[in-house]
Amino acid sequence: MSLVINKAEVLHRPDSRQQNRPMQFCSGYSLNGRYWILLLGLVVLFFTGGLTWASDAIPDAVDAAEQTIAAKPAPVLGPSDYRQIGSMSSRSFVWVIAQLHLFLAAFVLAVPLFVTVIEWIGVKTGDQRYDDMAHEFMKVSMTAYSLTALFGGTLALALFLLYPTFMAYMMEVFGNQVMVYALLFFLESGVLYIYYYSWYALRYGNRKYLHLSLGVLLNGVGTTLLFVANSWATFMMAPSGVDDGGAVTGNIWEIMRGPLWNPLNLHRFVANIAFGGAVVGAYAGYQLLSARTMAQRAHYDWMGYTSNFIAVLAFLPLPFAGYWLMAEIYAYSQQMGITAMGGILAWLFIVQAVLIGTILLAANYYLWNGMSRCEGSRRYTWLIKYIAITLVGSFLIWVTPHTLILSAKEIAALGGAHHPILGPFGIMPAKNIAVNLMLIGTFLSFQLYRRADKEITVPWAGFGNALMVAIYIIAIANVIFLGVYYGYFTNTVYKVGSSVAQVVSTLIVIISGVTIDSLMFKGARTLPTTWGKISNRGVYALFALPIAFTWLMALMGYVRSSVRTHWHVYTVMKDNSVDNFIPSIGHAANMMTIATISFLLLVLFIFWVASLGETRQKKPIN
Amino acid sequence: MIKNWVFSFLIAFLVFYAVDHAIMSMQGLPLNIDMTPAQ
Repeated sequence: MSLVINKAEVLHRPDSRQQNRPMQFCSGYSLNGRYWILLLGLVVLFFTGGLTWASDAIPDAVDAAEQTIAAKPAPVLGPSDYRQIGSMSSRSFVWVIAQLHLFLAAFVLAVPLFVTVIEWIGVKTGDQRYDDMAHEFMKVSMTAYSLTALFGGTLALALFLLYPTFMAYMMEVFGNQVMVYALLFFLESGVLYIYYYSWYALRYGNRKYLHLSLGVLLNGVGTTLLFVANSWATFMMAPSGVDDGGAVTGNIWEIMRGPLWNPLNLHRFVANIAFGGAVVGAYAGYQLLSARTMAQRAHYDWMGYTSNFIAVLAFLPLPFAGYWLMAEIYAYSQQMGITAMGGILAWLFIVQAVLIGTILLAANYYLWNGMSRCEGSRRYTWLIKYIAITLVGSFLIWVTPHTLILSAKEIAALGGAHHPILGPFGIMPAKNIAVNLMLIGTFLSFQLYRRADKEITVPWAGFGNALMVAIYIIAIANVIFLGVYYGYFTNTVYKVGSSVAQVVSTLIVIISGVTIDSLMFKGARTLPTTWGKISNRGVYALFALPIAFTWLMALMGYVRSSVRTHWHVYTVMKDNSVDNFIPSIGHAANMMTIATISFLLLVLFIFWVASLGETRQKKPIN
Repeated sequence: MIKNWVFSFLIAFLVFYAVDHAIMSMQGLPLNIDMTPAQ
């Protein structure tokens, strides 16, 4: 939906001091502006080159003595290599601290990513409200940054205290790379503080481009931090650059770039954006419900819509990124893949289905409620019930398990471990149909929302609409056909291969929808939109989103960690601690819930601190 | 009006038919014209 743009308020307001400067070049940049941008570009290049040098050159320069130390195999751990704090399980302690650190880190890495984009949109459109919203998002993430560092420090101390021998081995393997990580933190902190606190000092004209460059630098550093930390996790799952005994045989690049590194990089990068969008959406919802004026309500309603848009836009490609990660896990180790999805952890993917279904239902519900902002949406509201039926039906198929937890008597009564009628819904072909239909349905909700405030005027509108309808119907039929025919009536290889064609069908719907709409909206009449006119029920969906996202992150983090089973480093270093077992699903769920609730309490604290800075106490009258 | 719909469904059907063949072939899983596995 488009905003009513106040053309009087533009970002490129000339600075009075700049008017006395020498004539600007025809591109609109002054020599000083170019100088700063060039300088910043050199800094970025220097930083990138430095990182490459650090990752590659330092190990080559390591002396012979250090190389001898690094060539030792992984130690075999015994009881003396583990510590405990009282009677508390070390695994449980590290689990919660690590998960909270990951929640907060995901948030503080994600927010600058979409803040920079929103700031850029503000420059392009000349609408200062985008700039104000971007600044407000950054304000929320500043408090979270300190908490991230606190939990990161606590995690590091806990790991060194409770698992000293394991950590010693990891330090031997990764060597100086961990100091690169520390240096990146210094850089991240410096750039973050400058980026936030210089917002109003670098607000207009060429200075704004300098500020945007700082945002790009901040995101570059943050993404590098993410990738470096990911290498530790993926090394533990699929070690590379070491021999079968764990002795280092390759350089740091070979150690980092294991088979799971890039799939996890992509998955976490995209998922962070979705998660960050959901959390700031909750902030917007919280502020909207406590707004005192219609102007405030309108502002936070718009902020909530933008946050939901970011969250769902990033969420749509996530199943495909997760699929790539799981495919690489299977390719690396069939045993690990089967443990994850066909064995002891398989039920967790049913729980995952519940949470993703919740996320999609909540996001769609918010969009449907938001349609009440514009009278033009009445043309499309008749479709909502069909989208809802598709979402709920697909959700039910997705949560249907295959192998049921039954007693011997129940198995005998049922005639087997699988339900005779619902059993076929429990295997992947049915799930693939369900998830693709849910994504198509969600995109349709978005498309209807975008069309609601427009009256299309292009002469070929009839053909465009017919083509869009045809694409939806044929895509849905194709997804169902591929899943049913190749999933149940051909061999396994064709079954797995057809899932790629299903994904591509969904992507065709999304890409063609965006393209056709962009062409059809040219010259369209915009109908009035009343921001703030949304029911409170719709706003509650903005709270459901981050709760489901957070719990989902805890769940998948647990899967990633426990898929290593009894290994600290898979096939290289065995876990010989007292916690050397996969806990029951109930215990794992309790741990995830503790982490989720703790994080949500921290989020409330972050929101409170963010608004505390705006609070002014009235001076008492004496 | 009816021409628009017929043309649209024809285009969409052909696109998805071609995409299915292409995607499956790229994975080394060729299909017959009637979409049955060629292997």
